[in-house]
Amino acid sequence: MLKWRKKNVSKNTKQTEADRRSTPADRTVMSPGWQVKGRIYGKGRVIIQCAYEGELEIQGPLIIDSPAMVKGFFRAEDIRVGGCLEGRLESSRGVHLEETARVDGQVQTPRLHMESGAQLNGEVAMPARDASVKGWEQGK
Amino acid sequence: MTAAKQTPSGSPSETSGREDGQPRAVISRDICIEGELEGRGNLVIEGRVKGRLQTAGDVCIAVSGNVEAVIAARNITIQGRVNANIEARETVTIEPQGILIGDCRARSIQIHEGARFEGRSEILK
Repeated sequence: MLKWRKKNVSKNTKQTEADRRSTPADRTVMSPGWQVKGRIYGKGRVIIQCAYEGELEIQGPLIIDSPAMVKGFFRAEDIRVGGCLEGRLESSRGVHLEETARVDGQVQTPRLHMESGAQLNGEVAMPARDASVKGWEQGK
Repeated sequence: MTAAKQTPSGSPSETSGREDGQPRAVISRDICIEGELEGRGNLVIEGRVKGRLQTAGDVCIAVSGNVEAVIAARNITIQGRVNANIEARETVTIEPQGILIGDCRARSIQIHEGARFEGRSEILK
C-alpha cells in the first residue's frame, strides 16, 4: 500500500513539472528574451518568463516564472510566482510564491502559500473564497 | 515578387522550433495581446495580437491566428489572418489558407495557391 502511494506521489510530481514546462495548444508562453507592454486577456494557461508591463486578466492559471520581471495588474485563477513582480495580484483561488519570488505590491487571494526565501513587501487581503469568486465574476 | 511555389505547408512546430537556441514563444488561441512585443526568439501566434511586433527570430501566424499588428521579423509565415503592414529580413510566406491585407516588404515573398494578399509588395535588396 505504502509502495503504491509512493509511486503515485512521485508520478504526480513529475506530471506537474512536465505540465509547467510543456507548451501544448491551450498554453501561452512568453519566453525569456521578450519584452511585452500592454494588455493580455482571454482564456487558458499563461506562462510569463520575460519582461512584461501592463494589465493581465485571464480565466485560467498564471505562472510568472523566473527570470520574469513584471509590473502592473494581474488577475487570474491560480497564480504562481517565481520571478519579480511589482504591482497588484488578484487570484480567485490561490497564490503560490516560490523561493525565488519577489513581490512588491498588493495581493488579494483566498489562499497564500509562500516558500522559504520568497519575498513579499506590501499588503495582503484575504477575502473569503466565495467573496473572491463573486468579485471575480463581477469583474468579468 | 516571387510567385506561387507550392511547398509542403509548415505547421507552427515545423516553422518555429528552437532555432538558434532560442526558446519558442506561443500565444494560444483564446488569448489576446494588445500592445508592443519585442524579442529575439521565434513566436507562434494562434490567438490575437494588436499593436506592434518586432523580433530577430521568425513569426508564424497559425490558422487560428489573427493579427492587427505591424510585424518586423526574420521570416514571417502566414497561415491565418494578418491586417497590417509586415516586413521580413528574409522571407514572407503566405500559405494556402493565409490572408494578408497590408503592405509586404521582404527579400523574397512566396504566395501559395489559395492564399489572399491585398496590398503593395516590395523586395528588399
